[in-house]
Amino acid sequence: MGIRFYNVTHEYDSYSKKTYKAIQNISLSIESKDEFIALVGHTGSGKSTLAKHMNALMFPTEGYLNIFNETITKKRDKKVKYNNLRRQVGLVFQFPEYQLFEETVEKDIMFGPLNYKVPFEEAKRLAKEAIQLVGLDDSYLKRNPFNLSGGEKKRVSIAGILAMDPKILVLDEPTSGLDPHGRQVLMELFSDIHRKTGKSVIIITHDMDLVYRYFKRVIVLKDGMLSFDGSPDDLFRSDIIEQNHLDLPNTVKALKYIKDKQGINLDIYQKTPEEAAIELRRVMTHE
Amino acid sequence: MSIIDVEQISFAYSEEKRTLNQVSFTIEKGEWIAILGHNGSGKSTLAKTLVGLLEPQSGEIRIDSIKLSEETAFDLRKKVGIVFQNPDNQFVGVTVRDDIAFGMENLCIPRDEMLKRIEFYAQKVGMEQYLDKQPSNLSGGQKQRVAIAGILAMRSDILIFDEATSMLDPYTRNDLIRYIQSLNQEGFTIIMITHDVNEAILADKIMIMKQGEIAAFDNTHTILEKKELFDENHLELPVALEIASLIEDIKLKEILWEFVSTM
Repeated sequence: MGIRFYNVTHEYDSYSKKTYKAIQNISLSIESKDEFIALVGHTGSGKSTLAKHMNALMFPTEGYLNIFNETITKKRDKKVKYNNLRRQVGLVFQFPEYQLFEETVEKDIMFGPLNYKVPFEEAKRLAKEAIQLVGLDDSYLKRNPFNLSGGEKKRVSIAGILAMDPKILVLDEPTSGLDPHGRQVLMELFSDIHRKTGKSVIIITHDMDLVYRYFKRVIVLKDGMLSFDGSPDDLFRSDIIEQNHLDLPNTVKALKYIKDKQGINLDIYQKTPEEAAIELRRVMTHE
Repeated sequence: MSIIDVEQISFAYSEEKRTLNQVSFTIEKGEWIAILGHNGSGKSTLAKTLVGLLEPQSGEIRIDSIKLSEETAFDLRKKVGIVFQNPDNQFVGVTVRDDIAFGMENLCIPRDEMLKRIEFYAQKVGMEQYLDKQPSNLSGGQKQRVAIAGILAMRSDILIFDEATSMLDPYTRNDLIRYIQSLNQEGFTIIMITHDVNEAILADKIMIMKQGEIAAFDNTHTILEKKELFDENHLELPVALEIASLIEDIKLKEILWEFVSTM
């Protein structure tokens, strides 16, 4: 179960008649449970294209996928229940708040479930559950989504996807546009949803501090190709970072500077300022 | 010499709450200012008033000593370029090339010069391979780079970036920041609205906004020394300074400050 990519390539037609491959020969496997994955890479490295294949919003031009036992190939296949698999894999786009359209938050969240023929009362119950899952109280259900703040709108649009109870949640840069505090709160929320429900969560992000602090697995794309798939610790300790012109987490950068400058024996791979301070104190008492 | 004078401006979207409340400040020609503040603090509204997209209900803005008003807004916009956070809202061209050209067309720049600038600025933002592509087929970060190239090509004296780098990957972003640094050295005035304190520390001065008012506006180093200011406003200090605040060793603290100044 889950999502399997088998040598998937996607080639775009462009205006000038030249084609280019947004993703190339990707093979990877995402389980339907307990994954917490960061998808990183430069702009244009194919992250969003890859994400759109995960619920068959895009089809491969070469290779194939298996998504919850449905086979996705180049051509749209009448036998495949796309609706069904799109319910299993919820995709949240960049700036999902622009897709809110109903006059109340409740109606907006219910839209998805109703669309999948969930009975009205049941959809109402799902909306209530979903709004709590994103850390807002019931009183929000009656409010107009357009009068909410940016961060609240984001939560409501994520609740709309959660109400369909997907097994896998894919989010394309969900924290963009938020201030650092809002970003952290939202990341805690995803990590919470993941822990409470066991849902697999895949998040596209550029923020290496977040990648190091929160994620179990990280997938790096470079020019549409898979360049790394493993733990954040292995990634940051490898030379992939430099080869891909990616950033190290800020804690690691700061500690590396001290280490090089002072020539002290320091474990620079610390995830938070607090951990970094503990490591520095440890080293100083030994000096 | 001051290039922007803001005197007692107030702005409200609705009657209940003022988004900007009696804001006053001066920006000198050639300065680089970073504006920090959490979502809803009024940063973007302030930027929109500076380019005449929103008109304050009271107070006065002067750009290069000329009062910003309905009559002067069109001409003053040539002096002030702005890039917004979400590039999808600012595309007009069929191709990337057209899109970069758009702002220059409004300035009546001769065609030869325009073509030169398109190539030059597309390269500056690393999009020279994409000039014939449709903007709608680009990724979010690529679109943002095109929007930035379009503004840079207009060579306005004042450049405002309203969280314009938030969608870029770190590598592209560093490249762009380095270029902005060189523009600043050439004498361009830069205003950067950002959530990223690592970006803000490059500025000469930092302004912190809180509920439509200026909570602090001072030299970058002075602002960074006030940890409580960051805590109160839910802002992050650079990680290195966060670490520095948690340790006692003076020498290590110094090295961390030094590290921040090299960023």
